[in-house]
Amino acid sequence: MSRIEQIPSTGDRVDGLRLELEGKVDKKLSESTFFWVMGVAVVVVGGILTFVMGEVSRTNDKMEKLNEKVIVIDTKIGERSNSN
Amino acid sequence: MHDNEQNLQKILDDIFTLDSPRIQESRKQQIYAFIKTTVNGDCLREHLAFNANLGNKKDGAIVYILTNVRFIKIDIDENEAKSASYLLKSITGIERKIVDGDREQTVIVFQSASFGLKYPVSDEKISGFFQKVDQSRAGECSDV
Repeated sequence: MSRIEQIPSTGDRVDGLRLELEGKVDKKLSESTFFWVMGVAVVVVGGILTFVMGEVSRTNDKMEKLNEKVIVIDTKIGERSNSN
Repeated sequence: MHDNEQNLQKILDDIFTLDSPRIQESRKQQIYAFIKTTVNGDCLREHLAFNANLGNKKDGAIVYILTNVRFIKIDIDENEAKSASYLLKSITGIERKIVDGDREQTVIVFQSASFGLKYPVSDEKISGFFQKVDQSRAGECSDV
């Protein structure tokens, strides 16, 4: 609240004009609001990326383990074929 | 007349440099036309524009304009601009007192109305303006 405060007018009606200020008021984001929104967006996007990378990494690990098992099975099949 | 146009422009510039709250730039033309109509050709002597609480917890801007014959007060908030004109010769007195320990309360009393302002004692622009209004009553700014 401003430290400068109007004391209401008293007395008879005086000469005056009134202008209605029409038009949509464009509310621009204040700077602090803008930075808040950007900050939240960065955190959210970062979180999503981290999750996705984590899932990709886990999938890669699983694929590697599967590949190892395939190689072991291949080797055993190969050994049996050779012995036959 | 050209001086008056310049003074009107100066009043407009002062209004649109206020920033708490700030008046929308898109309203400049409207406000200019409104002030010009309100002044109605009087010779402009002094003016003052400042942010203030207009009453009912509404913040806005107040413009005081001292002409050769009138004191004009314009209240501007986000929805409207309202002017009130008082003849200088109808001023019967200017009352001043200190309130809240550090604010001055000045009330201008006219023959059939009054209005006033509470402002920090340190605000020399406002107190200086009221002194000029006082001087104008004594006829020191007569244009005749």
